Amino acid sequence: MSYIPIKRPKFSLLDRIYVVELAKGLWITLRHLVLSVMGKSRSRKDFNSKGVGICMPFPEQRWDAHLPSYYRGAPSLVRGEDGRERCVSCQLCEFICPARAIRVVPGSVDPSSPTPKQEKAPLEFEIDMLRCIYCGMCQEVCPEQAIFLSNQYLLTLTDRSKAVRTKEDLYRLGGTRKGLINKWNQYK
Amino acid sequence: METILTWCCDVLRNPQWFYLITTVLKLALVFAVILAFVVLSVWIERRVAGWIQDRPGPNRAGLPLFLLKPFGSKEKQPLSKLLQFFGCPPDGVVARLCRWLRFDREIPTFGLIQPCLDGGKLFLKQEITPKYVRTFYFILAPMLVLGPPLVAAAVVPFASGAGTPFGHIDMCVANLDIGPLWVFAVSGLSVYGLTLAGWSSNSKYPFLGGLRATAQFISYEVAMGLSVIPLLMVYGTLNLQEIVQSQADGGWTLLPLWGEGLSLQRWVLFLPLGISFLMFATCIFAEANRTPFDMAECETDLVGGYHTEYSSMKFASFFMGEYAAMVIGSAMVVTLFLGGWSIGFGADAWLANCNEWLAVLCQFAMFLVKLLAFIFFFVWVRWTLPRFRWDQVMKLCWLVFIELAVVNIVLTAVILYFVH
Amino acid sequence: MDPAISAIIFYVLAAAALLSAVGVVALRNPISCALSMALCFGFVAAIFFGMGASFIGIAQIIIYAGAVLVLFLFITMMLDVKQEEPVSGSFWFCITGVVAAGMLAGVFCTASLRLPGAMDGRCPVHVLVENLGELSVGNKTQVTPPASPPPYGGALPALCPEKHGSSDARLLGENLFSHYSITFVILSFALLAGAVGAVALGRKLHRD
Repeated sequence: MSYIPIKRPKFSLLDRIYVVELAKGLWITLRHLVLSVMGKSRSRKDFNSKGVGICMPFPEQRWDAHLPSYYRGAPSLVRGEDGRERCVSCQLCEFICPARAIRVVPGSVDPSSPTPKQEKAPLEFEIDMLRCIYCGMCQEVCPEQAIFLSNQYLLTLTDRSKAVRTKEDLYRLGGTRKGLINKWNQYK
Repeated sequence: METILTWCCDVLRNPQWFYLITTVLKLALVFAVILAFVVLSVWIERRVAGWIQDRPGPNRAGLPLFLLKPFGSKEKQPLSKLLQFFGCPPDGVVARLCRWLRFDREIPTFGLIQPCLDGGKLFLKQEITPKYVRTFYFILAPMLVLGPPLVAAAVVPFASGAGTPFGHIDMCVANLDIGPLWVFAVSGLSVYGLTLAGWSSNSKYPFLGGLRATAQFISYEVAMGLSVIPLLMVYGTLNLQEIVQSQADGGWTLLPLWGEGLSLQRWVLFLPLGISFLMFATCIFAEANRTPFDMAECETDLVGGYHTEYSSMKFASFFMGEYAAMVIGSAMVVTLFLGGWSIGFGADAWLANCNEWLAVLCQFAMFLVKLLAFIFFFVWVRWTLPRFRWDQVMKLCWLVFIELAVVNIVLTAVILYFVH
Repeated sequence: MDPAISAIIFYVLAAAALLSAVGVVALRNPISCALSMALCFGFVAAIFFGMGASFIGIAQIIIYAGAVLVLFLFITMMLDVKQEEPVSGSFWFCITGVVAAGMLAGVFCTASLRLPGAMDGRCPVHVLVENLGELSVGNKTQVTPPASPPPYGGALPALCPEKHGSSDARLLGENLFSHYSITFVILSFALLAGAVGAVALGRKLHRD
């Protein structure tokens, strides 16, 4: 059988006259209306709402403080505690990116730097924020823990060309990450 | 100056010129009220929808103060000047309260100008007329939707009459003896607009929407006409002004609490009149094409129904036509069942004894308040009930309402026979 | 309101009604035909309004323009009638048409010449209102004449509310439900029979 018969509920006569049920429904919506106008909607505490209903009036009040730790905002590059660029320009993020938002131009590390074993660092690293879909695949695929999704969610552009973030922008957004990675020490 | 005044008096003293001039004035007033209420009901719709769904609704659109800049004003100046004028300290409680209410940035309108801005946006949008439409009827259809509700408003009385030195003014554009019939007939004509829009769009979903609109309008017009007959039997007249006058004297149809309304016979008649009210209100919902009866533009199965192919101001005039029909429907319900302009509890006669023009003003205000209340009810029902299925809509009309209306008429006749 | 102005209004409306009636026959697109018919009904209703017969006018709009024609439109759209091909009629075809049209015109002419006061060039409605007793032939309960007659040719009653007598809805109802009540009931039974017959013909026969 290609269909499943659904058992419809039997309605009593009172239900079928409809007027009483209509009044009940109207009462529910009216209660919502009155409560939200008075600013006493149910579960508004859970949503940390300040205004009418359970909404946060956005530009005046922001939800920055309530963002979860796993929030996926704009991607950013990070430096290690020692100031080292963590990215080794392996280009895995460029290949995994489903939206093809990332473009990496690999470069070499100056041999006189404290971590010459790293050998490579990005010469250019660009993320087109108009293409980025905030999926976080770059973060997951990165073997060096160099790219992270920050909790920046405000992207207001006045020009399409401003949407492309350069390496400097990305490092400024990411900043320094705690935790030392000793992979590229000269002692290893 | 003197000659102009005497000339004006002469013109007004001629009864026909007096009639023409007052009619044109009343016409302008009614048009203005309806168009203002169309805008207002869009706002009410969106705000109430927001509140019912636990959100604020459109509350942002205000008049930003930077509009004053070209006139040599700095952005924050008006507020600080105002505070200075009243002698409030610039960082006191009052100033902080004002700043919290965003007075320093805009003149607050609680989002009231949102519909105007939307209208402006629609006006400026690109007008797209698809190549495959039948152009003449495609352009004609929105006009046929917007026009009839505005014309139908002519018979709705918005206050009682008042005397002037030149003659008596009846506060109703055309005090016809066929009031409700006029409204039914003219507002029923807007079905042409929907049908033609569906047909001339020359595509499938609009066409289905047009067919649905036709069937629904014809069916519910029958039920609507039958459902008010008990009321007309009780009041014994088709003149809306007289119906409202007798409600003012003897209690509203649904609230007979003063005058003759306290008698037993009125309360016995309350049963058929209540049924009549329920049916009439439902039919008005169907005629105004509102949820739960908006089968013609049912998004879930017809994309946008008859106005799928329309854009820009043509779409907006469909939209406005729908809201104008809603305003007229509310006006009809208010006039027939909720006492029209009458203030109630015998206050009309008392006020008219004090000052006729004061009475007229109060009655007009009362009428607008009732109208707003019923528009709110329209919106309230819209955000409560889901849409019916098409066969349910038709069944409700042909198998329930028409039979019930006929039974109701017989019931009223029997009661009236025994009462008299 | 000048009688001349109301005469002008009448002639303008009548001409418009005639023009749109010609449109019904002359236009090729069935939807256009139906719409010009609606327009024609509207103008006729306007003429009724001008005569003060507002109930009949509004009935014209409600029943014909609001319901019957919308059904026409509905059916035309459902069946998707294509643009009509101009028929090149044969000789006999034309003759039959001309004869039928002539007979109809003859009927109308006779009827309008027989109207009271038509021979001496007066307005029939005016004459009728003057001898209002004739209107309720055989009716024992005298219909009270309107306080002032709303005849065509005088002021438009819609523009002079103070001259407006008792409503024509009441007059019509009293006549229909007292004097002609049996005829009325028989007619409605005939209509009912027609409706039942249409349903019986139109419904599908269940054979299984």
